[in-house]
Amino acid sequence: MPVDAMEEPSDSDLLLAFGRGDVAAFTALAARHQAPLLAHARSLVGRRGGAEDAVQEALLRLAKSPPRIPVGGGEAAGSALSGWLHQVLRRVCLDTQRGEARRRRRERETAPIEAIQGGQENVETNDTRAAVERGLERLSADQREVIALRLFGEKSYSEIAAITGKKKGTVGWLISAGLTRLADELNHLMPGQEAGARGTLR
Amino acid sequence: MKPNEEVTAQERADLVAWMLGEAAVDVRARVDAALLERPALEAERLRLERVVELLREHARSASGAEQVDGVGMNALIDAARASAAKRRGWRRIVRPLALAAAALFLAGLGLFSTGRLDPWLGETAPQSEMAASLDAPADAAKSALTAEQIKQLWALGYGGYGVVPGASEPSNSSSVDRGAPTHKGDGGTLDSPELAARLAPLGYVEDGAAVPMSKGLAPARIQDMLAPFNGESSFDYFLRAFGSRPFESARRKPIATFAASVDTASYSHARAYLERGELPPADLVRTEAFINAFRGSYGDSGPQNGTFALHLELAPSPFGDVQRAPWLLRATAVARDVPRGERTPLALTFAVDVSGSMAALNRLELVKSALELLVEELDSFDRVALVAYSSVARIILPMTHASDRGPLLEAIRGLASGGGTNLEGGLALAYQHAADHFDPAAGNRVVLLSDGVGNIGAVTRDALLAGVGAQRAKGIYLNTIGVGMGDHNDALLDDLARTGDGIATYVDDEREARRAFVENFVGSFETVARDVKLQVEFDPARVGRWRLLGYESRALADRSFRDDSVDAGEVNAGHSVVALFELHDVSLQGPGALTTFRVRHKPPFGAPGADASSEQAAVIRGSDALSAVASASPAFRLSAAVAQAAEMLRASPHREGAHTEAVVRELRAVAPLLRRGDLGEDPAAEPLALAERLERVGLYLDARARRGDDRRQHDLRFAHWELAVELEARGEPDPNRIRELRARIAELEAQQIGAPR
Repeated sequence: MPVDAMEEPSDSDLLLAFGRGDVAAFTALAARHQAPLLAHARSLVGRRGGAEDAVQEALLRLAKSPPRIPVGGGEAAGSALSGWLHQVLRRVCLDTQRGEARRRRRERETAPIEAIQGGQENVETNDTRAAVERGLERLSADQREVIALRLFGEKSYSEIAAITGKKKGTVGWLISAGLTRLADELNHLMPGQEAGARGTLR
Repeated sequence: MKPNEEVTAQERADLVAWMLGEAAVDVRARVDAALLERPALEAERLRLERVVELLREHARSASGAEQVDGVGMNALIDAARASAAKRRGWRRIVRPLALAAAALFLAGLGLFSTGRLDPWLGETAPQSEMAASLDAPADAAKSALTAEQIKQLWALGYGGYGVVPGASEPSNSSSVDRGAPTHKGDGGTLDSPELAARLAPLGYVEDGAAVPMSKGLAPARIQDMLAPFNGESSFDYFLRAFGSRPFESARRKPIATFAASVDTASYSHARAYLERGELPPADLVRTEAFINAFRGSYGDSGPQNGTFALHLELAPSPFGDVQRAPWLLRATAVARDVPRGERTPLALTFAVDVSGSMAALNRLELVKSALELLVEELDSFDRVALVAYSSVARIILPMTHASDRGPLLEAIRGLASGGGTNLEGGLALAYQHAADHFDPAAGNRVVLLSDGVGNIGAVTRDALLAGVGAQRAKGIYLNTIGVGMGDHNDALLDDLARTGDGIATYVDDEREARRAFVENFVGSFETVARDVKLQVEFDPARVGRWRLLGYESRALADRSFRDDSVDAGEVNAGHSVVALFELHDVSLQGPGALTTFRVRHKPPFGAPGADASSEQAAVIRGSDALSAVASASPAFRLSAAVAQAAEMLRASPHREGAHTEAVVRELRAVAPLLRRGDLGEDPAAEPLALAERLERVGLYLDARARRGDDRRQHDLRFAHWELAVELEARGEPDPNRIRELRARIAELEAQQIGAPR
């Protein structure tokens, strides 16, 4: 954690401030939670399935009816709002998306993965990105979600269990199975396999 | 484990946990040692770490400028501004109310639970004061209450911003429930004092921490064990209470007594997992629910006259430990069907959620078409009323005869959505209307249709359940129907229906709606027998050991069978109750009954002689036994296969070494033999679908069955449960049985916990 992060107001401070009518506090909360939420949404609905809309909807619910979170600091309070947001988001995604089959169908109908922004990045990196993206697409929805929460959202197994309603043990199994599957999908990028790609990524 | 042997899935899971800092101390040590010893595992570590690195890199490069505009910050800020302004306005009104409500609540929590204050009748908006304080800002409450009181409020999911994590639901999902405090017996701190307080007398809690399973449990009051705790998920509830039935020696205990169960919710829940290619949590799976879920496919014949037809069938078991040559006994009680013209009239009051969320995914349209389907099924002697609720509840159509199709359909089609979800208001108004038009000659029932009930605090939930219970006592039942919720089942909808002696159903599309409303709905309200109890007695001279599959939560003391004050299961028209017994050391020689099957029940409320119990019995002789499972009826084979699937899914200690493939093969073999039902539905469809779902998870399922859960834990749970049942049943407890159970518990508790891995 960067040192200045220690000085930042906690989620519950911001929530309280927003509760008192401070709109800037809400903006800060939205900015803080946006990136992990978006990663989570994408794991659920894909890049083109309205992930941004889902995040907006989740944040909208935060705006309209903020949850009741323990006052004060503490570990539990720290992750409570985040957990709440991820759960709301999950529900929104599942509501609007409903099922892997529909997602797959839509993806077949749409164009292949778009070129990534920022032309300066070299081709090799883009290939790696596309390969990782493709690998993620091939995981089961559950695997993709828990991996996104763990590695993109930096949530613990317990937090993921609370968000997804799965058992902690199941979360571990899903992550392990998903990473193994990815290792197989990305075999050409694995140690001993890749030619020079590794150097350019580092 | 040999150095070069392939890495197992368990090792990999441990390794990943180790890499991600999630491994417990013992797992860390194990992985550390294995890494040094096994090159294959070390190679796997390199691969997996590379994957993690690639993913982290991916996340870093994906985050950036694209996001901020993507989620439309401006719209959010507008919404936040409006919401903040509204809250500033509220505070002036709400503060005094909140203080009053909070004080009232602290002083009078008991009033609700003891029923001295009925929140349901007499006031149209009974929850309004409570609701106001839910929205009260924290500082308002803070200024008037002591820190201790505030802590209590939080613990109960109440007051301003104070709520214990995991004790309230942020969305309609029931998932939070499952993250609720640890009380599953694995030790740990309880974060809800209320839960701790309720668990303590049961021996689950000492000094605020959950008691580890190894210490065993104090026998608890049955009522306490039967009721799920506040905020407890059904998963935890099932595991907590009952364990698994062990094999019993017929010499020592020749009789099994249990209450009928026709509840199939466990199967529906588990099916949702399997459809996604996931194993359901083992604790969720109830064997009897699986068996009974297939009653539509069995085609067991109903009675010529009387209430039940009893069937017994005995054949070699297609599953189980081959060395022991197990037999399988299928005992079936089929309730009479009621012809349409003869059924009890219905007085249905629908409480329809028309809040904003019902507009999504055509949920309201689904409700409308479902209601229209249902109206077509009703007869002129039935009556229907319609209450719609969003932020406020309104009577859309007062109690009307179902023959008045015009106004009925008009009211249904006119439903429109918008606004918040005032469940309390909707239910209260529906109950009031149902009570105003109560017809003692009819089945009076409120039917709640909703897409989930969202943010309900702990107190509201208890008050709701208490209200539903009070109404049930007055003769009004409650069914709940979850609409368009995907695979999410709602704990509160389940609890409400259970308390209202009704059924919780979930419908997602037209097909399911048709099934729920047209094929099952009307018939399923027609109770033909109350307090149905089953008893099976084995001849100890010819049966060595027996085991009843499932029905753990339905256990009764043997002497309760003829005690008519004992509450048991209700059975509806055309339903059947199926119980399977696995038998060891069976001798078919000899005269007389090998097994006697008795069913005792009372007629439904309102029927002539409603309080007089009657009893039926059937016997099977050794000479009736079939020589091979292939000559058994399709119903026998199907229930055996379904039970086997359930036993594997719940990691039953009796299912070590079972194979998915065998179950799948048997399901597919038996499906074409099933007789088409009266309703024209395909009896093979669900068995075949189950086979396919099982096949998809076969690898994992085999692994789970191989593991088999710690038998000691299951046995210990059930022994405690049975002891409590035995001690609390009316009449003189059987001293031998109690001594035996106590000895069993002592022996199990003395054993080492878990087998070494």
